[in-house]
Amino acid sequence: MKPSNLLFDIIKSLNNEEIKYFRKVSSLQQGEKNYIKLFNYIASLDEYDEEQVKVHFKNETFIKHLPSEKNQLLHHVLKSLRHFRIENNAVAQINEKIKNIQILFNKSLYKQARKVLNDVKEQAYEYELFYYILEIIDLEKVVIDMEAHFGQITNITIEKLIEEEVDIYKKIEQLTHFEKLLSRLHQLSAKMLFVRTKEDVDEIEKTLNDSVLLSSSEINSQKSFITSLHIKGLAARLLNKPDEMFDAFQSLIYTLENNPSLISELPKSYVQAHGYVVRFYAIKRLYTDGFKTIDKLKALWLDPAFKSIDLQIAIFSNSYINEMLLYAYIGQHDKAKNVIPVVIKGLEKYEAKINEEELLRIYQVITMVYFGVGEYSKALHWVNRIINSNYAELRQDIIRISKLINLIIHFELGNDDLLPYIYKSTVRFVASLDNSYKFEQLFLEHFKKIALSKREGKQSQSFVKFKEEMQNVFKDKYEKNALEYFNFYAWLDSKIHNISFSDAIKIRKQNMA
Amino acid sequence: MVTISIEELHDLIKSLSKSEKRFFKLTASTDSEATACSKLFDELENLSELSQLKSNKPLTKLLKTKNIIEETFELILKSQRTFYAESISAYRIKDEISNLRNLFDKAQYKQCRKMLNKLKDEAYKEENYSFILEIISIEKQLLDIENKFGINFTSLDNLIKEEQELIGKSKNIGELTQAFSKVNYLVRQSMVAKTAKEFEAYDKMLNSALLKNNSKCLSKKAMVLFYHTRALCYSKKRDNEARKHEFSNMIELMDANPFLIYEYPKRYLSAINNVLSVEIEKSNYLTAEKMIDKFIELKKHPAFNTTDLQLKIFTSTSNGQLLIYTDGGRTDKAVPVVNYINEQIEVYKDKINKEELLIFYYNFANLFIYAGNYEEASKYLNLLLSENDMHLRQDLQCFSRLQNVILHFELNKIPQLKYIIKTAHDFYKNQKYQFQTEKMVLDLFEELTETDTPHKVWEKYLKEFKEVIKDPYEKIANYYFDFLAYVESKVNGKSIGDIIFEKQANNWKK
Repeated sequence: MKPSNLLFDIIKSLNNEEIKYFRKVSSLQQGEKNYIKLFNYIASLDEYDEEQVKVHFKNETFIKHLPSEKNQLLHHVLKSLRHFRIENNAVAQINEKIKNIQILFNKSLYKQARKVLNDVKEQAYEYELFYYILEIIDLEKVVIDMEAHFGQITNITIEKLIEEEVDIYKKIEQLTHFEKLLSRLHQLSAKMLFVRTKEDVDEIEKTLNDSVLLSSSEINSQKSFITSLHIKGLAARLLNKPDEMFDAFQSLIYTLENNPSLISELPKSYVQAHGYVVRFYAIKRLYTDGFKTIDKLKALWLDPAFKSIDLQIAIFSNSYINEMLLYAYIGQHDKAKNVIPVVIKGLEKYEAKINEEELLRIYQVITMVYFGVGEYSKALHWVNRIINSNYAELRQDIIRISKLINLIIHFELGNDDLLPYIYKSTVRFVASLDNSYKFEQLFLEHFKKIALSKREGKQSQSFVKFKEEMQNVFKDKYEKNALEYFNFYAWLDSKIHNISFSDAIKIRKQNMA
Repeated sequence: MVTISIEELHDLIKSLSKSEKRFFKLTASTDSEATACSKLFDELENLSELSQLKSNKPLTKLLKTKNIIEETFELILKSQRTFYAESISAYRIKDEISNLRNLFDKAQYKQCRKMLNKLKDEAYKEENYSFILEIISIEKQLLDIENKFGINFTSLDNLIKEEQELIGKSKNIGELTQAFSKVNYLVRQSMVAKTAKEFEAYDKMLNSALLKNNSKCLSKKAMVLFYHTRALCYSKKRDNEARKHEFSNMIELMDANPFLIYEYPKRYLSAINNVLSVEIEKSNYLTAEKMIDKFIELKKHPAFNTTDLQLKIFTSTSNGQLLIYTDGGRTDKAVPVVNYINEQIEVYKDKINKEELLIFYYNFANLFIYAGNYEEASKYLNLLLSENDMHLRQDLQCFSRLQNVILHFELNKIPQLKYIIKTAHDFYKNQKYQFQTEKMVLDLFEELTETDTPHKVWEKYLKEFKEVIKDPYEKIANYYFDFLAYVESKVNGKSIGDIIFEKQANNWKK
């Protein structure tokens, strides 16, 4: 990325508060400042065009050395962001206070240095800022040396500090170990909602049987404990064990809320845990709890600890997407549809920054919602975005199921001319896959009978037969996972009983209650 | 918020240079909420002594404002952080890490990666392991995002491996720090090893797997600690050649890698000081004098631009000058050094640590005894003896008791002398004699207090001293005080200063 693009992107990413702060800090310098002029102009642009900048400032002397002016501006923006962070972020403040120890030490003010050191160290422990603690211990080694010279009594020795340091290394090593385990699970979850093959199940079981993870008494920090809960929760989700998933993520949320300092340290875990909890509430039909949790998630949007774009995206996808999902779950697709404009706005803002895995999930939910309200053309638009993506490695599960949904949408749209071609292409696609599902075969077999034969009275019987055979296939828990993506039962019911897809869902939910 | 006393705030304000004060005022002027802090700063700055506090009405009124001391303290530190933002390497890296976090938060992942790689390279060059670990923690987050976008700079496994290597290197530094600390603690208690058992302890350390050779050093920082620890062991063993060799290696390594000087400035100064001490102990006064001049030049080096390091340069070079002029028989040149040191002690006041003060007072007492100014010598000796920390420089505490005996004798305080000898004996009951010379000195004066023929006693002891000093270990006692020259002066009727001057004349040529 060229520096000019970075400058433009950074300036455009500043929020109102940050802009205000930048202006305030800049105003402290007397006289006219070229970099402010440049800032104001770049901030007004929708797209960066260096030629346009040169034309705009053609009468200014500084334009002759634009690169250095841009560098200066970037330097000031970054500096202002650092200072803004210090004023608004407890961890950044701790980082600044570490500098104070060195300043006081350099001035031979050892007593004051010790006071600040003890205070900062306590705070660093509260936030479990292991790298900062190491830095503080390094400084403390020098401080105790001076204290010894001045005959000040202290029970801290180099030996104790080195013991403390080793203890911190152990904490880092354990946390890293858990991060590695979690990362393996994340890699799996990027590919699928639930695991299916024996190899994948074994991999998860192996993770869950990790000796460090099993011996909870040996977990040596809250960060490790929280990460261990994340591992257990995600493993349970991949194994489709909702109760265990809920226990782990609920416990993760409680632990973080009882140690609020750590929320800013593990914000993504906190957000994701809420997302999984919503999912559990949906499965258990605890919709009120689900919506409450979504509201709680949305409230985090304004929390300064969650202001990074990465987290804003996580909140966005875990709240609005889950909200649509929850409505769709209970057959209230019309309400889910009301959320779509917010989601599309979010996509416009973040699409380039959202990873492919998340994007597919979002497109899939939107497809479902439009399908639910009977707006098949729109559903087709979004399902095509999934099918035409090049994300073969990611979320194969979504792509596979979307191929089937694509057929259903075309069927609903009455695209009888197109259907044979799309059907053949889907058959070829499914045939090319490893580990094909019985359900996929069953679907294609029945869909051929239903959609490619002439639409006649006997079609209803075909749907009934399809449903019966589907029930049989779904006795296998891995096959049943297909229902997590699309309610095939509800679709068949809607056809059998000639009701809307939403109503079919509602009826199914009522009967299950 | 840390509770700060008015004394502590006053100390901080007094420690600021003119330019730092100006910068503080500039910082405070930009903050409308800092008016009271700025006023308190001005009032305290103008207060030469804190005892004037009560009579200063505006100040007492200001101090009633809640948390004003703490807020002013924090504001000064804030201005200091900005003042030194560019010049202190650690601050710069911290700021860069903060930039990384901001770029990450703003989803500028490409730029974040670019800056991260650059910063990591820099941090590796300077072996800033805790910073690299922090950078890796950001890199893990970045990697997570990059992987989701199909970018593969590195893998998590590689990062974890890298992290483990860094922890290994840090632990290695920790082990060497611990080894150094053990030796250092012993050195502070007493300067030299005498018994075979004591030698054995140091030999054992020198032959340990960690210190035998540098193959166990995983970083340049570890190498510095390796040389320093070995050098201290040799210093303790009085093996000056090996001591000089290790310290010279350490200096060479640090000169070739300047970041090490910034990382361990005190160790660098200590190495220079030790090489200087070896030259002084070898009585190479001309070489030592030239080294001191170069040493003083280090005051201008940015790595030593802090109060404590400036102080260290001052104490080391001043002591060096004091020693070469005193031991080299040039008391005329040494007296102005004493005046300069006293002025500087006033400037640095309580910033000079006890150990340095003890060394100064001890050397002052020696100088004035050699110069025949016993009153002045007594003054400094009393200052030394009034320090009650028995853990600090036991060697000086022993020899200062002998100086005390000599001074009482020279000042003809014979009744007190008997008592002083008795208390010195009592002191040694708990202390053990490090050198035979120490006991001989006490015996000598005990005999002198009871004899009618002192000349015979002096002659007898001159013989004995000459004999004892043949033992290289006993020679060390003569570095602390030239007992031989002192006894010779009594036998020959010359001043001790003249005897030393004549003895050392040739040493000023090398």
